[in-house]
Amino acid sequence: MENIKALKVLKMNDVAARLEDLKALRDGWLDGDKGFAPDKKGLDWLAEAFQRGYPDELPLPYLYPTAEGGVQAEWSLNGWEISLEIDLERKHGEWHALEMTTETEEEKSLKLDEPDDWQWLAREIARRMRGET
Amino acid sequence: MNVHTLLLRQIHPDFIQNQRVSSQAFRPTPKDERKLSVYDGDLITPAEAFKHYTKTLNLKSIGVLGVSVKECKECELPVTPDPAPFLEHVLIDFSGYSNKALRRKPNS
Repeated sequence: MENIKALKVLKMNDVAARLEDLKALRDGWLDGDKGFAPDKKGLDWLAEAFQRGYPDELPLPYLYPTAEGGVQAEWSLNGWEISLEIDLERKHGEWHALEMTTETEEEKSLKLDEPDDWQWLAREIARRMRGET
Repeated sequence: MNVHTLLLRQIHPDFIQNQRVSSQAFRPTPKDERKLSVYDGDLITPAEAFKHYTKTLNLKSIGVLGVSVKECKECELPVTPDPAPFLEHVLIDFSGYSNKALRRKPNS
């Protein structure tokens, strides 16, 4: 029987843990000839950026690798499907929010090395979490 | 194939987290030339499609999701049989849409 030396309780969708998992990807992860692996330093930067700029009380995003070597954050909140496509090299994000009933759509480019843009992101997520249009 | 036909899409294991599938699963990658590969659900069952994809083609999938031809038509996405690689192969054509529109279509 193995001894448990450390036990860490993770939140659902723990950002740092998920980004750590993505470090295991290698070039070609998507069907052999597609899919660049995300840069490990870029993943560390993103984990720190979320830690600094994204309030604990907000719903954590689902995080997926992109074929281009980036990360896509996604939220489903009160009828809104939201994605943030993150370029780890440029520290840039493309925000897209779609309200599924009315097809109201919003887009914005974010500089993810700018605290103001993280504050904007947090406001938008909080607004949709509360069900505001 | 008719409007009720289900088109079967293989889901890559890295496009699922805590049982939620990424919208990217239904979006062609840059190397796909804006065409999304699916199986014709009238010609093959989801289980057979999964087996073909993972065993015959030796590619990764964690499961299969379906979208109907009708749903593709409602999103103005042409659906074309493409039996060259294998008999049940079908393409959903996203050409003509910008990269921004590609982000929107899988959610529409």
